[in-house]
Amino acid sequence: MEIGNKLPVLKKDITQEGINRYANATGDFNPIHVDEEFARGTPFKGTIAHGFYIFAFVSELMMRSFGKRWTNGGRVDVRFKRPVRPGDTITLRAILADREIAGGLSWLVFDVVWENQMEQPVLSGRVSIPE
Amino acid sequence: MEERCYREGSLSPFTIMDDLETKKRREEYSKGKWLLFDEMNVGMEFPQVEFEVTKELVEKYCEAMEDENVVFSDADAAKNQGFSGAIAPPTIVCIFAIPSALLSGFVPKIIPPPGNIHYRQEYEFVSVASVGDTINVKSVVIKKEIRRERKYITIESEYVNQDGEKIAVGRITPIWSK
Repeated sequence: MEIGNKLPVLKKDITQEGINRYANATGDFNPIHVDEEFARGTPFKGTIAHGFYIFAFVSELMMRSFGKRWTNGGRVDVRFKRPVRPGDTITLRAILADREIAGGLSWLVFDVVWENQMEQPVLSGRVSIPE
Repeated sequence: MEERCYREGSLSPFTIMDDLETKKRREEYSKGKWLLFDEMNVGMEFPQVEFEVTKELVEKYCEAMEDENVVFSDADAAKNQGFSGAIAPPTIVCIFAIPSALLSGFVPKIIPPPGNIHYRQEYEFVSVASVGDTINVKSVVIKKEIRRERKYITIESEYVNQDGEKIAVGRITPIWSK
């Protein structure tokens, strides 16, 4: 891969049903995610998606592109920028930003950003894959 | 140039939790004594927790994530990609990374205070988990700081399977509310 190469983007529509499904699968029933009445009374003024739900999209993308190189050596470091709400469409983009040598290995380093439909970043950071 | 794109279709119909079920889960979630920022220090260890990677858990997780990668369900497809059989999604360990799960080993129950915000997340994926594995999660506070009046706690968790093989290392940094 060349610096500047992009991976195929991943798009996901976020719905309250999807958030509830994630809560059911993971057992994370924090009311900020699943209780609309409670969430309306918080500073978010409504429910928001679980951070790990949105975060985990990166694994789907990296699995498709790198398979075992992701599961056995992949690294990710991201920061949460904005809440994700039902009705949002999230687009995850990854672009090869650098090659690094660390720990005796050569690494592909991607800039990754999750954007909502208004092109605002909701998460961003870096992913490293051993070459 | 048109972007190459993975876009998920809708999956099976999903029943929205009714108000009663939501209320019950919310009350259950909110029970317990809050663990306050001032009560945590670098080096503080949480009771270890274990979970089993069941077929049902993998299926429900993949359905929730709308991730149809066959390596999570088809042993032959997984073998073609260099695995020994079907694997669990690497991020399945995230289920046990939220503070409420990390604190779940405390008796009596201790919970994170309401209003925490997920600020930063790191993971190193070392090996894969599969259905039937039992994963032990060992967590310790590695950093505590206040910046611009915000209280940051970093908790590192190591995930190890029943054979002592490391699966992943995660570091979660919430902004602690109280």
